[in-house]
Amino acid sequence: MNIKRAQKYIGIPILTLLATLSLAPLLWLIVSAVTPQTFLLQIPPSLSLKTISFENFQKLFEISTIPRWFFNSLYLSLINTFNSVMIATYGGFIFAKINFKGKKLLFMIILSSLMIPFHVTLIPSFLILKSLKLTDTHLSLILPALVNVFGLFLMRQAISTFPQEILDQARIDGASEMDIFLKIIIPLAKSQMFVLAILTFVAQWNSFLWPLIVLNRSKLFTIQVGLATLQDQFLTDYGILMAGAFITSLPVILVFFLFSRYLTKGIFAGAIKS
Amino acid sequence: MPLLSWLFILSVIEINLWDFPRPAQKENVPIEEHWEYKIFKKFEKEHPGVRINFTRLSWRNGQEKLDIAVLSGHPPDICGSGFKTAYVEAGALEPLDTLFASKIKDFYPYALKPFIKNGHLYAIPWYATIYCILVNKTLTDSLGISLPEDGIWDFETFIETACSLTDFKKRRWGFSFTVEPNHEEAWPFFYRHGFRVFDSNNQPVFLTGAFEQGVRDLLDFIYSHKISPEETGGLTQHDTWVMFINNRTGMTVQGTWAITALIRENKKRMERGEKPIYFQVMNFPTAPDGTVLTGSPGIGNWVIFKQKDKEKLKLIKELIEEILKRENQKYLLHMGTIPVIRSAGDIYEGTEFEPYFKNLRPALENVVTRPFVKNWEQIDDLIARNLQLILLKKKDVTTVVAELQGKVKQLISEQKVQSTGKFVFLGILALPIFFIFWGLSRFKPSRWDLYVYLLLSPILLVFLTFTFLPVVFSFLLSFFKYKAFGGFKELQFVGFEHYYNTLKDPVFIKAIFNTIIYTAVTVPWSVALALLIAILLYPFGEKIRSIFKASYYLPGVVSAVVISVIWRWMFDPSYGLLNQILSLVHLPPQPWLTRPETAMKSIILTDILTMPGTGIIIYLAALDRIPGTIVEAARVDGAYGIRLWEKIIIPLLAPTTLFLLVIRTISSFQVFTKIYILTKGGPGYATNTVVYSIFRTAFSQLDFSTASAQAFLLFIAIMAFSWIQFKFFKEEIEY
Repeated sequence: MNIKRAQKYIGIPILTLLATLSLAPLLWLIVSAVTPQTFLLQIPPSLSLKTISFENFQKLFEISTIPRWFFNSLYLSLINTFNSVMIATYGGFIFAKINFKGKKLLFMIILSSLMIPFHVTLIPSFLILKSLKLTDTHLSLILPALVNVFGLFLMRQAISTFPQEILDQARIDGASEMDIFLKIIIPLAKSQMFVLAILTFVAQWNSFLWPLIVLNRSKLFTIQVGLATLQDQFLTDYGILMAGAFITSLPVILVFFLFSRYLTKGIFAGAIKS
Repeated sequence: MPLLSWLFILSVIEINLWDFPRPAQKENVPIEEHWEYKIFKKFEKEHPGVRINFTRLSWRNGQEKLDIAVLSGHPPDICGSGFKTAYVEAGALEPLDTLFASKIKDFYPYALKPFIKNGHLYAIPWYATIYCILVNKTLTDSLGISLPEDGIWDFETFIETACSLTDFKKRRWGFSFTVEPNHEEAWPFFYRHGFRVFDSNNQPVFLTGAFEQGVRDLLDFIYSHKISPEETGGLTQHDTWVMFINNRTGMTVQGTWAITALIRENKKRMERGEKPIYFQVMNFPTAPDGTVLTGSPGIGNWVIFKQKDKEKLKLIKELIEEILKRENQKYLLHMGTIPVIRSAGDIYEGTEFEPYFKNLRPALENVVTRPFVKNWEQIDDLIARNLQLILLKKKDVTTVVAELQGKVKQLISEQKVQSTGKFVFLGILALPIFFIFWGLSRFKPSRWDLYVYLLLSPILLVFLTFTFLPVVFSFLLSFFKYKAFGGFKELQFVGFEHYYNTLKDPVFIKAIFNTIIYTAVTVPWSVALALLIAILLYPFGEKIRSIFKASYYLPGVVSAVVISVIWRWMFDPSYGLLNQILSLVHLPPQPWLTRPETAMKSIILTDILTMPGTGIIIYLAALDRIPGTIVEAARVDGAYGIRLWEKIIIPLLAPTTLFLLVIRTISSFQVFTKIYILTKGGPGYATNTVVYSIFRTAFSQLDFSTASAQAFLLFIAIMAFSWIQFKFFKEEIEY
């Protein structure tokens, strides 16, 4: 126990220092979102409580249909996160715990698709969606997001550390693979699933290039695409950019705090006892 | 009644119109009140049964959206500023010379010239932007410098003014300009010596003595008159603009858009009770023979993509005529651009903008436009990056001139694509299919295997459609040349030519080298740091943990673009946070992104200072999964503290470490957004990475074949690295 306490004493200052460093850009983002640009660009930036103003936000709401875009992004990200986490866990379980012919090769093929930069596959992907008549619909964002190779890999790595005995015991007791997935794997993999959910939600929320390419109607835009259409070519108004970034970061911050409660330990210990 | 309305729906003609964002008549105007939108609404009203589907592109990646739509054969009907030489070569654009025959005479020839190819006109000019020199009038007045009222001055007066505006103590430069790729702000200094990239027949006459003279002038600005900063080679247009509005430079080159932008900025400042920036618009110093001239970054235009329906084509023509109407020309002043139609007259006359624009009238007679020749994007990139290196004293002008002459000739020479490749393409396609069948015939699945495949089938189906097929497609494409428009119809098999050319290209080799350095530093660092932080966090209770986890993870939720913009801000040589901190502790300011020696290091620094939030939460989740029984057993055996971690826990974390290493390697081999926002691969080629090269090849050059070849070389490299990592770490961990 002494060692643990010593570890804590060493830990706190280092962790705090790193946390400050880490939060600096986020703080700068918040400060610049509530400060008119001219104050920011002075040397040194003249910041005080007096300069705080919400004019950047006000401008954003005046010129755009932000609530609509926000809603689009929110519901698409939620659907895509749910789908892809469930499917990744399901696939991860099969690749981690079930033996079948061709498993290794198949997994390598799936994994290797991560290694192709997506810029070169944009055109064929677009052609496929076009031939399915799905461009300029939200389905064109939902269908390709169903299988997330990164998530599959993450869940497979996580589930491969689960003790085989539990699964074998269940099989002896007559449980089907589906039962095992629903009743054993999901409860055990909960914390990893939440990790993946947060990562997926952030990635979905921030995705830009693909929605930009497939969506044409302004009312279908996601918030990232919508915000980008507001910027004039040369007048990079940092204030508006930062206000937009702040609004787009809020839901993710919220999701993090909501989910982070579930990222607790001890799930495993409970399972093995029962 | 239902029948009638059905007929009505059938008769609706839809025009898909795309355009980039245009400044509105005043700030903060909702889209329905934007002048452009109003023009379209009016047109719909006057033409019942016509609907305009207006899509607003974005300046960020809007061009790529258009490229993809065009290449895949599904472009919009009409697009604002959509002209690209590659589209003409691909046969995607409707020739407009006969359609607009009656109007053509009304356009200034310099505005039409860029859009004429093989005797046909492929775009209708909309407006012109030209470059001008902005002078801070508040400064010149306070220093007692008098400027020629009419905006015309010779070279000596220009230098003199710049010298007296320079003030080292106040860290203020006399004159700032940029030579970043895709920007030609500095080129009028070459034009005034008589330099042109191409002669009237589009033959390269590029590197003449005139070019050298012009470059030497720029070098003199920096190193002998010392009126421009030494980091000029690494400055962007945006840097020079920000320097100007913050009194860091007395003069700068900008496009005419900057004039309206400044007037708006001043209004805002006055509303807030701050001092506006009084400024005067000047021409470039006159040529030795006294001519006033300038350059243009491009002519705003409208293009019509190939139409089948003649009726619709006529309607679109009317729509363009509506946009160009005299009464609608006045909207151009919100963009700070200049009409290209003679009958439009001077739209600035009698407006608040007139005092600024009137000085530019003489230069309008001699506007040198950007030549729209084959591979212009590549040629411009080549020249600009070499200019950066020359101005940073990394390369010598004479050497560059000798080097580039041949390269430009090669780029501009025509390469015909013959459509003989289809059969070979199918042949190539047959090979993997054969292997798949061969594999399947040897594959004798048991009932159990079939059952598992059935369980997997939904995943496999989605994976095949949206991931595997596109990858196979681009792999096949890397062996072919193609005619771009209409979904890759005319293919010519070229074997490994793209691979060979790529590996021969010193720029790509440098990109590989940069990427390896970047990966070798950032990946081990971030995984090790994630492990260290996770270990330090492990003993704490849930509350403290989640506070720290959040503070490490949250910055990662902000989009990469915004984070990069913040970094760009911090790195700024004159008002950036980093240099201000250095000056507080009396250290000399660093050039950061503006010099080749420090640019890559600065990019790596941004990674080192970013906490690996994802890695930390994944490690912590994995740590929590380690059964308490194992740790207790180890303790009973006498393993404590560091030994416990070293012998028991870290080995147990191996699958997670492997996962993080593989994922981080893959993503850092693909580093892109950071480079795109921070340096565009520059200065010179100092921060050019593999995926940034791929992006440029695919989109600015529209060469998806070579881009695919580059992507598969990258693929092989990543495979090799991942394989090594898989071998290095034992894959399965059994408790």
